[in-house]
Amino acid sequence: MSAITNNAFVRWLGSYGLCVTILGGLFLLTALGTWAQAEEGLYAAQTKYFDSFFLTEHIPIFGKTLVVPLPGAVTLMALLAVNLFVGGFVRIRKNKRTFGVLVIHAGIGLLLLAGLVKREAANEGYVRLYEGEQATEYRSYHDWEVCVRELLPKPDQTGLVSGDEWFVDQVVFLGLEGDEVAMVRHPELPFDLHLRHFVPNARVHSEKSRDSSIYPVVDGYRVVPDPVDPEAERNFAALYAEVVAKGAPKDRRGRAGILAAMERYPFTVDQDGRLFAIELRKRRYSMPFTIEQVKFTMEEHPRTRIPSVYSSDILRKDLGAEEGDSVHISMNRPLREDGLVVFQSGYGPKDAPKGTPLFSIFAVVRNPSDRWPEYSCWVIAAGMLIAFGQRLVGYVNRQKRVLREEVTE
Amino acid sequence: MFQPAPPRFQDSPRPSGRPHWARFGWLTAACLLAACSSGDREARFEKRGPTFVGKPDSAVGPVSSSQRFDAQPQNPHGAGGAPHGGRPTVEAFVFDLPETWQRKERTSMRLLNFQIQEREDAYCFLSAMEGEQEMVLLNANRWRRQLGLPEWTQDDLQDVETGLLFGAPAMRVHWEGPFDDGMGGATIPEAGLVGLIAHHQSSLVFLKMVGPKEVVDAEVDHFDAFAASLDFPIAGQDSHPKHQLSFEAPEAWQVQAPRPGRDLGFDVGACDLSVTMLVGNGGGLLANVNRWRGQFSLPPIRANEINTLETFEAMGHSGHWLSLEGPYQGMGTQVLEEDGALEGAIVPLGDHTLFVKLVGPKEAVQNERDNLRVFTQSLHMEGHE
Repeated sequence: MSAITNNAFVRWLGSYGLCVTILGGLFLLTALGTWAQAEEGLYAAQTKYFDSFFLTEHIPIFGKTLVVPLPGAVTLMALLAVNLFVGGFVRIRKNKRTFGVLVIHAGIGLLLLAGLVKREAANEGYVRLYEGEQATEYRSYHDWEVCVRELLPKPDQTGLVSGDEWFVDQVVFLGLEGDEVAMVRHPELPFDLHLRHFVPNARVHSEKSRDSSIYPVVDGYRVVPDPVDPEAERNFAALYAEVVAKGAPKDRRGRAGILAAMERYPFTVDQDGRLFAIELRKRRYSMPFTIEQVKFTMEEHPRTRIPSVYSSDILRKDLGAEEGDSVHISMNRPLREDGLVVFQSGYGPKDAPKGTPLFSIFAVVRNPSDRWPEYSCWVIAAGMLIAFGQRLVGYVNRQKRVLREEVTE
Repeated sequence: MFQPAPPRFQDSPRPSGRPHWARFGWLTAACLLAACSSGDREARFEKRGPTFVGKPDSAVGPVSSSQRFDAQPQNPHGAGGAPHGGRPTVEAFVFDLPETWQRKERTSMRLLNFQIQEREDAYCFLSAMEGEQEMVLLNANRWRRQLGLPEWTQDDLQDVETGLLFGAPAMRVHWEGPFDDGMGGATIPEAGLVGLIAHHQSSLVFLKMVGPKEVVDAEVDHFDAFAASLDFPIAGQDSHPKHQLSFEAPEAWQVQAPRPGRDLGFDVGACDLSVTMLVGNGGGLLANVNRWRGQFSLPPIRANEINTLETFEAMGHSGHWLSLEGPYQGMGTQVLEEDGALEGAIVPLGDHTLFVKLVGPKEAVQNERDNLRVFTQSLHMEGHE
């Protein structure tokens, strides 16, 4: 054992005490997060407790509020990974007898890695399809994007059709306050876009409206903030955009418009003879295939409107293909393909009278580590089999030896 | 789960001084610094091809701010943003909103929905369904059961108070009792219910206010004023503006008084004929075909089966002709015509879609089939040959 691994700090990093403390902290976060979910909503609670490095918990005591800083789940999981690495791989004796334990630790490490990969690389959303409709993308439940679509004339000149799209993820404009600006550009676009004043839940009202708002008036309208709904997918964000010349500095003015998630039509600009629609909308993610809703089936419990079972028959088609494979998706039978998992998650419209066409809602999750927890379980099971098998074999051999010695005597 | 370290290390002295957590002070500081950073940002758009979810994105040319924002839903939750939201709808009523009422999201059953005095247990809503006069009593008794009151008979309707709803005579009730909606919703020990039920043509319209007795009693005047102000459609913002249609119809067909959601309506013997012109595709051919089929308890067809429908030409465009038979239940759940039938056409006209629908007793509908075809082919709207 080297001097480094014998260092007191390294020993502490790999100690049982730290491990138990971390597990206790994770238990506490789970309890607090579960409790908070009822008040703050699922997404907000997940973000605060399980997708954070640090957080502060406000605890009312005797009419006052006690602010308690806590490590978030990300910090605790990172510490747990370090603890596992130091204690379970570096400092552990490595010989034939500990091989099973090393395999178990490898399985746990894979489980933690799966969580990290999911956090960094996974996304999720939904697709809502009526029978006969199809999709090659899915929409995020709560993440936004600003999208610039080029509008092109139809070949028969009877209208317009959407062409290529340029988009930025919400990380670019979330939290923009005061005179902060996000300057977004692309070489193929004849303008830059300056974004300001992101409001997570808002309406757009005429300036003559009695609703108070600190936000500027554009073309007679302004953003009026609403309280942020705990259920994140119920919020309708708004943002101010300004179309400016390419390379324009922050304070250069241009054609301004409000981008609102609940607007009826997008903000349109005509620049250098090209027409563009600019909108704030739910983030869209491409799928490597097309799904077409063929048939939605829903059965209700007798004499109630409570569904007993619902499922979808879909066609899974390669992009651009006319034909595809029939797939049946039901509650616990998702479609897993190309790193995507497509679940049957619901249907609508709610409370629709009998005979109303229903749409099917699919939850789509892109998680490169989707199967890793299963693999880690197999690895851990193998490690436990080895470790306990060695113990059993050792015990049996010892018993045989004792018996032989007794017989000899 | 960890394998114990060798005993010789366990005897080593622990470092003294600051607690171990303090060793992570640098990590805390770094994370706080990262979290606090803000200011201007620069980013680059990512490019991708046209996206396609469900239906292609509408590509509308330049529009004014008024067009973009003035008809936005009052409450966004039903506006298509959330996965369970219905299809976006355009406001279709005018009314004077009492100051103690707050507009709530509409649902598939509630065309208008209000919360009263900011109380979760006090609300008022407007709903409508297809139905005949006999269903007034059925629905009145449904309300009475919710209040634990004995059911009425037809005779009880003779002395009932009347009011007006959308200009049509309506039964007005004001009852009290312990309220239970029978669907697992909240119960109100001492509740009041004020309601209007109107039957007009083959539609039933309901306006219902429910809440704690003291709240309902205090809001009766607001309810009556609201009902009196309720109108359809909104002048200038009509979600279904009437189109000027010319036609040739048999003399026996009686033109109906104007009705919401229709451009033309006829009483054809025991049958009802509606002609509706919707902007765009009116929700889509497949969805509408399956909606009509659903009204006859027929299973939906798939997109690739649309081509099996009979083609039909009207107003210079090709569409489809439908003949359906079965127990007709309209938009409600009650069967209105056991041996019913439908003859009708759905004809896409480019920027509009024409819907012609004749429903009624099977024999009567079949007798009018040829007349209906001639009538449909005679329809003419300016701009559509």
